[in-house]
Amino acid sequence: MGTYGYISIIAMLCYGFMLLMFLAAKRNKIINSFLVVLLGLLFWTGGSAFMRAQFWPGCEFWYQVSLLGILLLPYAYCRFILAFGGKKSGVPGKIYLVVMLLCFWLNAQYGIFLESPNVVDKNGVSTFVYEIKPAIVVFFIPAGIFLIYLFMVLVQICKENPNIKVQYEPVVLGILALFLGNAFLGIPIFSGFPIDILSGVVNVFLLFYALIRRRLFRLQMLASSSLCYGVGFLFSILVFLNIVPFLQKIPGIQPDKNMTVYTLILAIIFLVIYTFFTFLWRLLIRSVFIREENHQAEKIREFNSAISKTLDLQEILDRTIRVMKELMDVGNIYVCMQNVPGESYRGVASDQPLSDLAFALEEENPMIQWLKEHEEPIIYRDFRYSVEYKSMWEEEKHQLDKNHTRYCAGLKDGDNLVGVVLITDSSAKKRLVYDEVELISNITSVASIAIKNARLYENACLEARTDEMTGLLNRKYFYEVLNEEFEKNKEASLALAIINVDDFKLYNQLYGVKEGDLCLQCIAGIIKSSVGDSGYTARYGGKEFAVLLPGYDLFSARNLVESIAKQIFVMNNRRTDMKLKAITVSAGISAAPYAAKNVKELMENVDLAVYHVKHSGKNGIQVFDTMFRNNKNENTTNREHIYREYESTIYALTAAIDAKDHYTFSHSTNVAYYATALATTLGMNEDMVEIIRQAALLHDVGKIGIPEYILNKAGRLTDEEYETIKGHVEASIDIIRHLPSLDYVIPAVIGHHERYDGKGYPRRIAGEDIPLTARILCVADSFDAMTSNRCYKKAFPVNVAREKLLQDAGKQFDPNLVEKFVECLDNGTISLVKAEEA
Amino acid sequence: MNLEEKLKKQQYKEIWQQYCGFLDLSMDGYMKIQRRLMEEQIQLWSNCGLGQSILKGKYPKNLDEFRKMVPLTSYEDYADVLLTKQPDMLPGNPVIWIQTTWEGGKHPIKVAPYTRSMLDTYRNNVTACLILSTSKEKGSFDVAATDKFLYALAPLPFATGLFPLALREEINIEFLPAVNDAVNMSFSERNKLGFKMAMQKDLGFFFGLGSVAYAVSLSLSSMTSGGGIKLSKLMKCKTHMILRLLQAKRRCKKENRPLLPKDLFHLKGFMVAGTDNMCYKDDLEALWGIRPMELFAGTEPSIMGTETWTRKGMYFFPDTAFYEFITEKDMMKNHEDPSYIPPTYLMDEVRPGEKYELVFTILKGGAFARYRCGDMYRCVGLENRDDETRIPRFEYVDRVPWIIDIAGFTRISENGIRSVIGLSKLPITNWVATKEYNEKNRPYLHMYVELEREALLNTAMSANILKDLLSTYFKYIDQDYRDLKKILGMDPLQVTIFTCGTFAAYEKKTGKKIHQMSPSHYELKELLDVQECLNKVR
Repeated sequence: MGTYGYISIIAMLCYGFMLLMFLAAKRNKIINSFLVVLLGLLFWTGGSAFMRAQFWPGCEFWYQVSLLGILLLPYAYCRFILAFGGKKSGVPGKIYLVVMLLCFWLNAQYGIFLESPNVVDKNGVSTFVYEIKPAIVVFFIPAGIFLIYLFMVLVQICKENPNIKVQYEPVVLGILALFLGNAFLGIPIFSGFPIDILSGVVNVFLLFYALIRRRLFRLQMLASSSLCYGVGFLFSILVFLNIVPFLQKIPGIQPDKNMTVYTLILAIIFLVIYTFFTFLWRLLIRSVFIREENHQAEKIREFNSAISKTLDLQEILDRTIRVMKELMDVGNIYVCMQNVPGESYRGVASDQPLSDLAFALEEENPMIQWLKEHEEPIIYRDFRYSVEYKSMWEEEKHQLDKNHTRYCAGLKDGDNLVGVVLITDSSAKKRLVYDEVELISNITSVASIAIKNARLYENACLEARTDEMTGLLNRKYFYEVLNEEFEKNKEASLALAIINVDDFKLYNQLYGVKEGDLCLQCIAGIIKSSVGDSGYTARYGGKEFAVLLPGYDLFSARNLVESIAKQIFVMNNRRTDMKLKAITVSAGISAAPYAAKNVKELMENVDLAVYHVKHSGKNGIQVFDTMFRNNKNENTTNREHIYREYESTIYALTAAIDAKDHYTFSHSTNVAYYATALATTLGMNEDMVEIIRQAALLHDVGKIGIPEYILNKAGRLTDEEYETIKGHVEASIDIIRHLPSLDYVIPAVIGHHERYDGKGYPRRIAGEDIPLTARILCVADSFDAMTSNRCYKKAFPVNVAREKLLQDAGKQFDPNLVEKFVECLDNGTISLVKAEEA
Repeated sequence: MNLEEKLKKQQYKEIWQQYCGFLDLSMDGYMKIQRRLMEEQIQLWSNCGLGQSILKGKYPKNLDEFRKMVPLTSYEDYADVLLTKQPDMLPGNPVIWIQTTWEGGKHPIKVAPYTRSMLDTYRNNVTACLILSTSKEKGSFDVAATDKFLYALAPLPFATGLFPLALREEINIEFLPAVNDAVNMSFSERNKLGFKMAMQKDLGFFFGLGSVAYAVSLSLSSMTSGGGIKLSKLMKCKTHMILRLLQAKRRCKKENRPLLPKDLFHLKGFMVAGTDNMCYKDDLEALWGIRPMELFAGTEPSIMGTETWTRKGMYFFPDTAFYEFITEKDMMKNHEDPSYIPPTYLMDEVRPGEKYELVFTILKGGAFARYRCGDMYRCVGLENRDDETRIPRFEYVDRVPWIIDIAGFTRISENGIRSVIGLSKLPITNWVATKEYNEKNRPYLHMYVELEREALLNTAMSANILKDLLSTYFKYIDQDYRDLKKILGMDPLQVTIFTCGTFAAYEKKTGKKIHQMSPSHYELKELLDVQECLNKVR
């Protein structure tokens, strides 16, 4: 075989290869028409090559095949050009096809136009001599006309759509190459060189390029199995044909004699060659073209298994970022997460440890909104052309542009968008790869599930570790931390402080449970912010807080606790709506290794220190001293009853009421009797009972300011007068407020006209929000009012008053208190105070 | 990627979506954009010196507070800061200052700063207009970088001069004549050269004020109909233009009519802006064979809205400004009693059929907040099945009644007329001025005046003399009025002299004074009736 033969073979291989490749591709009109072009070229080149090689069944046959290919080509091109421009194939193409097929048939039958060449043997080399007849024009004329038509179609398409011109460039160049190749045949330099066939190859590659530009071809198609087998087959045929002549010459085998053996050997050899080539091709493709794909799949598999094994959110994020970075050529990757719905998405992780993560995406950001509604990632460049982009703030645009943001993908937990992955460009000129979008989609969907689990776990952990009300660590977890830290800090020091709120029960009783909770939360806040990251804080008991300070010695721990105690003491001054009692704390501090050898001892020591403070008048800080252990039981002296010292003040005030309105005075003393009796029955301690007594004596002190005619009005009060009467509660508070030492009665006084159902005055609070003392006063006050003679009404008998109480239990009164009160009335613990004779 | 690159890549769907996608917005979606951008603008504006000069120490946090705290403003509120061009005082860095005349203001010109992001928005919206002007239905358009653009609008520093600059960032359409050359030419020079070039290269787009477009079109007709065409001129033309010209000549001869622009040019897009377009649209359509698409723009807000392929009302762009509307009734009430604060309605609160005065806050670092530009719009519908839109549609009505705008060229205010009368020293005792349309549907200013009785006896006073004198002084105080005559060739003033005592009789009859500027049709008719009666009595 000369150059001619080789080039023909190469061309044929190219065509065959492409034919196989596109046969395996997803077919559409353009691909189909390209296949027809390939077929035409294959017929032409293959026919001519086989003819020259004088393969079976003979020159004549291959000549006809080659001719058919040539004749088919213009039609094939026409189809391709039309399909490429998105046009329907018209009638002229079909007419041409019919005419040409007819001519071909005639020629094949009778050789009218161009007979098959004669083989002339020249010095052992066969040459093919054509006998050119004038009738050959019949072939050329329709082809020429058709080509002109084709050109016009092309011009038309380009005119209609100037932008498609660029896309047609390779196609036109291809045709031009083909044309030139054939024209050059006549030039002497090229004689003997198959320039026409070479131009055919160039042409096909140009068409192929046009298809790639149109994104109609992907490299993955190279790895399809049909292509593997096809290529294997193609190569094996070639090789086989070349080695058969040698096989025939192998001594000992006479094809004519032992036909069966010969065929068998041939078949086996063919099979071996075939398998070999198929295998070789697959290996080549795998390792060259789709190695990257495999690498990618491998990485994703690794990533999947890795993140399914962890519940650590940070690790999941890091791995997600790492796998993206490995698989794509991108700049930086940032992950932003939303902690609570409604908040913005803050930067939490990045591929660069030094990245500035202090940025956030607002939940209202149109990009976030878009991600919420869609599953696929945003290609930022495309997003900029959307209507949603219009509502983007300049600052947001600037931020995204500054980072060269390329993609933005959502991390979803069901319908919730919990996080956003921002991926930036490595260089501004990098072209977008559409496969990346799919890749990101895959990775983020896997990561989303892992993140969901990690967050669930994190939440569960947090819930199990923290105290719900204060947000501090709970007791159980605190012990864990304590043990851990003790082990860690064996060489250094570890301080532990317990802060116990003084008289907290009283506080609750004075202001109600709600205020009590609020107080604890405030204290927790103070402790937490003071300790910060330098230690652990826990709610150790109901009103006890523990502070664990690794690395702290006794001195610095004491300083810290002092500062905390000071802050707590002034905490309630900030309240403007009502005056609250100042909170004091008793704190104990101990530290290992100075004063304790193990965790148990440390805890005991601190407890002891607190105990010591409690017994030496509360409100203090005590560092554990070994001496405590020895005089544990010394502190047994009874404290002076602090509330008795205000007796004289109360007396002065009640005397004033008495002078103004004797009824109010006797009413107050009666209420004091009922209320203390009830409080005692309820099992309240001595202090509380005393407070209630004083509050009862003072509860109507504000009536001093109300005109007597209103107080003693016999008839119905006008609205205005009623409002004046209602004002006595505030008036009472105004008076008591000026006596700081008596401020503890305020909660009871201010609340004694509140109703259990929230319809009372002045604050309209309800249920347990009303301090217990006030609720007690309310019952006592009403009972006495009902059972007393007034200028406007007669006293009710006890049983009527009792019924009334029961009726209004749960409405005006605390039902539990009414129940107790009635019980006391029934069993005689409380008896009706005899009305004074006027 | 700009429009031109996208066209090359045949991304037609994407192009439509990017520029004209706002037409598909729902009312909610539209308001979402408005509110969100406003949130940003509130921050920028409230914290800058200009904003604080109006807010006086208050800091609105949200839209409701903003609407409560910021009063309705006019140019006077900004004049001190803007006219001295102090960038530090502004909410955003100005890239360019656009100017216009300030009729009746304390300074001859008004200036408005444009930030880069305002210009970006402007560019996108201008491109949307370009696309929409060629569209026949939703999603279809025909724009190519090879198109030629005849542009009959003023160059920089006027707002209209931004148009070619912004468009150039998107697509390299050739302007006839080139923008750089056009700057130094007079209006008629520009038109002549533009047309000459259009004859050579063909024309795809035309944009002008309605009135100017009409004047230009007429001059085109006269230029072509003026006898034979020189061969040397023909040589420079493209072959298809020569063919078209010859064909057109033959056709016109056959139909015995002058050559019209539509014979020569097959416009892809035709845009007009300004006031009084209604008067010119039909004629322009007859001249060019394509109905002009109206745009809504101004110096302060840049481009605000556009019509679509149906040419049935325009849509406001959601990202240029935040729009509020005052009903005509409230506006009049406020005009009569300036202490009355008229309530404003948002885009999702307008009612079809109602006339509104527009109040806008420029977004993206713009200077103007709750600004009354003095334009009246009528809401013509909330949805449109033809356009498949779900956002309100408006049509331009006119300026507010106390400003008379003639052909989009000049704005005549009550103060303006007063000073003209004062300068002319004419013995005019009473007058009303209103915009009327002549038999050709062209707008003009009609002044009804009453003169001193003595003056009538002692001096020659005819309506023509009055008109000439008043015109002279109008030209003296108002450059634009001069241009009206020069460019459009129109004389926009008519004077009618009333019988002495007409105004007094009117007042006696109705018990109130008549509005001097644009009195209502009913008031004017009554005034004329009164004068009739007076004449009869005599």
